[in-house]
Amino acid sequence: MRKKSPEFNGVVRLTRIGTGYLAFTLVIGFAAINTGNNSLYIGLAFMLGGLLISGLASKGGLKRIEVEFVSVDEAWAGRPAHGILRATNSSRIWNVRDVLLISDELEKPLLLPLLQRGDTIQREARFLFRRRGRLQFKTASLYTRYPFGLFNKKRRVSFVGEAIVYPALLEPPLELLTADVLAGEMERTERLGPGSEIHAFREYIRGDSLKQVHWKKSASVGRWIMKQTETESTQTIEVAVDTVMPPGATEEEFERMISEAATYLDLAIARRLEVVLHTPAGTIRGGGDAARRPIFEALALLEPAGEGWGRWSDPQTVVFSLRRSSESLTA
Amino acid sequence: MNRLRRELESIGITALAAVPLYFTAAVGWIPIALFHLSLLGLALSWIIRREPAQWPRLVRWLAYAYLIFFPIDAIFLSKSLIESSSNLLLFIGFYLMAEAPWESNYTKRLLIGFLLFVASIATATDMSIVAFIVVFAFMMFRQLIQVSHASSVALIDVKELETPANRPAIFYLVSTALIAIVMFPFLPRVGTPMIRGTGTSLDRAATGLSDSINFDETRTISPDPQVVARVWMRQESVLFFTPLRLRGTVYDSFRDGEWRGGTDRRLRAARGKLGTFYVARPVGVRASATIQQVRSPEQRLLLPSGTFVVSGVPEIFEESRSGLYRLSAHSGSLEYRVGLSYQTDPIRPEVVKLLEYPLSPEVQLFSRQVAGDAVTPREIAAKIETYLATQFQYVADPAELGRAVSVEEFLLSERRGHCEYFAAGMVVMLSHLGVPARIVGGYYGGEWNPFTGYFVVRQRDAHAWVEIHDGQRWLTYDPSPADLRPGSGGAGALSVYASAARDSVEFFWDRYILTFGSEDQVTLISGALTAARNARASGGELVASVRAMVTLQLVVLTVLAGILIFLTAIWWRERRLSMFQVMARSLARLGVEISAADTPDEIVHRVGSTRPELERDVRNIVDVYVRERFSAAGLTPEERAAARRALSSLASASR
Repeated sequence: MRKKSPEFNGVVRLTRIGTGYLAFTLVIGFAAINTGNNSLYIGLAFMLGGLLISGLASKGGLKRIEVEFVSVDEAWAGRPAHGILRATNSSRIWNVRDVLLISDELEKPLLLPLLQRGDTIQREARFLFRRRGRLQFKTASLYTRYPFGLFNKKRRVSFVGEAIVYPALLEPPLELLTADVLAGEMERTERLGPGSEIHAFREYIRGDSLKQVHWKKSASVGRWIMKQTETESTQTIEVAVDTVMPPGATEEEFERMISEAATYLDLAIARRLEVVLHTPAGTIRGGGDAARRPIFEALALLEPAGEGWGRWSDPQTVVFSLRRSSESLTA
Repeated sequence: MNRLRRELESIGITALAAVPLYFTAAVGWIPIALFHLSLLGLALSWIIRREPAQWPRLVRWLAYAYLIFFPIDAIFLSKSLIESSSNLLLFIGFYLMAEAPWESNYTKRLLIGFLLFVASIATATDMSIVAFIVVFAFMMFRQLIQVSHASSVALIDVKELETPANRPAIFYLVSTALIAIVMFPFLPRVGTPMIRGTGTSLDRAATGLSDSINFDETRTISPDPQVVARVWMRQESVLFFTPLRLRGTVYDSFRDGEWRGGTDRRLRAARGKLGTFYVARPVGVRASATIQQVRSPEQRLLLPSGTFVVSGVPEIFEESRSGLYRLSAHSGSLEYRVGLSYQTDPIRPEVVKLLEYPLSPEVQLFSRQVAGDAVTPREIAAKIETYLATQFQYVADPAELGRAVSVEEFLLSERRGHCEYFAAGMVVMLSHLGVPARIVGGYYGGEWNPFTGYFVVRQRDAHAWVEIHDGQRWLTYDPSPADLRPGSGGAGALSVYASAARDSVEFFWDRYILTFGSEDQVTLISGALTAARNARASGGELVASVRAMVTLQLVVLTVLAGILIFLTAIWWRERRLSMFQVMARSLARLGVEISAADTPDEIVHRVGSTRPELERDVRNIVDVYVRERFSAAGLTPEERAAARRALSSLASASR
């Protein structure tokens, strides 16, 4: 079955230089018809040909460009994120240059300098998402003035893809989030590793870092003595996010609460703390970079709920909630 | 494209747009030369200083000064509004270029370039205008691509990137040219519906025939190859009606030392209906011919001797007594058909007078001696014609005589000269002997064009001969030796074909481009409609034969296209082969197998151990390849050239 050619659901506008070009074409046309001068007719035919080929080229090329979303790094609401787009020019005739891709999700228009016929390219792009959550890309606009800049052509294309946008991080973090819980002392583990507590001493071995030299002991024994530290255990932080929207609470307040939780957890993970996140959807436990994705995705996908959990019993758990303290603990 | 290059190109394109104006009469050469010198100064300023001096005040004052100068130019200098406007246009072109360093007027500059381009092509009729249009269009497309790129990049606020413009410009130029070729015949040609202008016709050349002959003045003849006319004739008619004699003018009186046309030069409309005009009665063998001719300043038709009917022109006027005809109006293409007969009788009775020429007794005696016992006008004319053609020396170039020679001197002492002497000498002798005669100026012979099947008559074929009146009709005689008349010199086959090929192109240009008009459009469309109707009406057989022909052509075209695609694919594949692949292929032929998994050192080592003489070349190629592939710095043109040389050397060794 023959593949239906895509429609050009776009807009074509004359540019300033295009208006001038068109005016001159009309002038030459007038002069040619008036004088019957075939040299002018040659010029007129050339100018009309240029006009036609310009329209055909840009419209024909733009008509067959498809844009896909490939991936994005950690996408936080309100912060630029690097991602990758894929653009395909399925035209068999036209190479298209200087295509501007404009989308609500992009931080600024993206220039695609060259899309050769039948070719697919991947381009890095900076995204800027307004809201957290699962984002379905819908449409983007393609603009081009190529080849001659006589017309500005626009076409809306479907922008296939999906991204999960993490909640916005607060800047700067709240006082609350830098409280003792995060600044608390580390527990000893009796195991060698990076840390501040000295576990043992040993002789210098070639390749040891000078940072590990115990200068005082080295001076007393007359040779280099290296200190061995013991690793510090990570403290576990428990966080609960209550998604219940009490009467009178606004959506902005809810988002603010989610952002507070996300900022808190981001700081905790950055300080290599073990975190446990309780949400209505379940509990996630983890630490380090591996924990970031499940935790922030869970926060990204939280929706306000009508019914809440019961009172949070563990006093060590930090609870983020919009309910009053009589109803639940709040952060 | 950096700014300097773009500015220089912009200056170049504006300068180029005005070049054809040198070759037309629209603007004097001084303003154009000034314009070009000014642009050259601006270009040098850009080159030397990178960022030329900004003198906005000076440039603005120049503009104010030109506003005052413009009416002075129009009234006192150019004395023409069109020419002074063209000068103004040149000034605006310069002004915008001078303004460029501090004013973002790129669009305006391109548009003024367009305007100059229009002025140039509007006044040009030579075929070279096509080359000009192509070059201009290429440069303009390049500029437009750059402008389009710059404006797109400006929207995203990033540093302007280099964009390749040559290949796209060529691609769009070819596409545009193809569309223009298809479009050209169909653009409406309705002929000066608004303001009366000058339709393009073949009026760039005059016939070159003078109004009078004065033997006291030195005559010069230049071998001008300018085409005067083209004549189509059926093959079977050629035998009877060649060599051609296109009658351009008639000298039938002698006054004040000059040979001139007759005193009675009143014009009267020729008789005819529906564009067919009978100018004589046919006698003897008949034929027809089609003539395409350039216009003479007098709008005179160059009718061949023996013409009895003219058709294909709206109206013609007859010059009384001379047998010459003129066009009525300055219309488009000058192409008409004529009916020829071996001899012609006048339509209405003619009053034929003897030429009054003051002859010396010696010439009178000489005339009688030459005529001998001849009695009838034809016999007398034949005797004189033969005598002059055999006893006198033909000199093609009048300058060879070195001085002004009178007709008497020619006949009695000099006995050599060019065709006008021979014709005048014969007319003088005939007149003394009582035979009415006149000199006819026109074009003789012409050159057969084997490609297009017509005779090409050029300026250099200008010739003079004699017509005598035998009491019933005018008859043609030519006392110039036949083998020395124009076009009789033997030319090599190669030059004949080269000349014919050149003329074929010129003919195409003149006929189908320069003088293509509404009639041609009607012919084109009606021809296509008729062919379609015939094909439908005749059905089976014709359709089958057309189908077979089209199929055959399609097969041939497909095969040719296939060959072309195949060759292009090979060429493209070769182009796309990386340096490494080319090297690997050459080394494989030499028995050294390498693969992409080998490190550069391994490759060099392997080649060094088996073919030490190639080690250096391979090392060069590998170094360049690695740098090109993995280094951000890229290669210099010299390094690239060195690598190409090394690859070529390797390839030679592998053969």
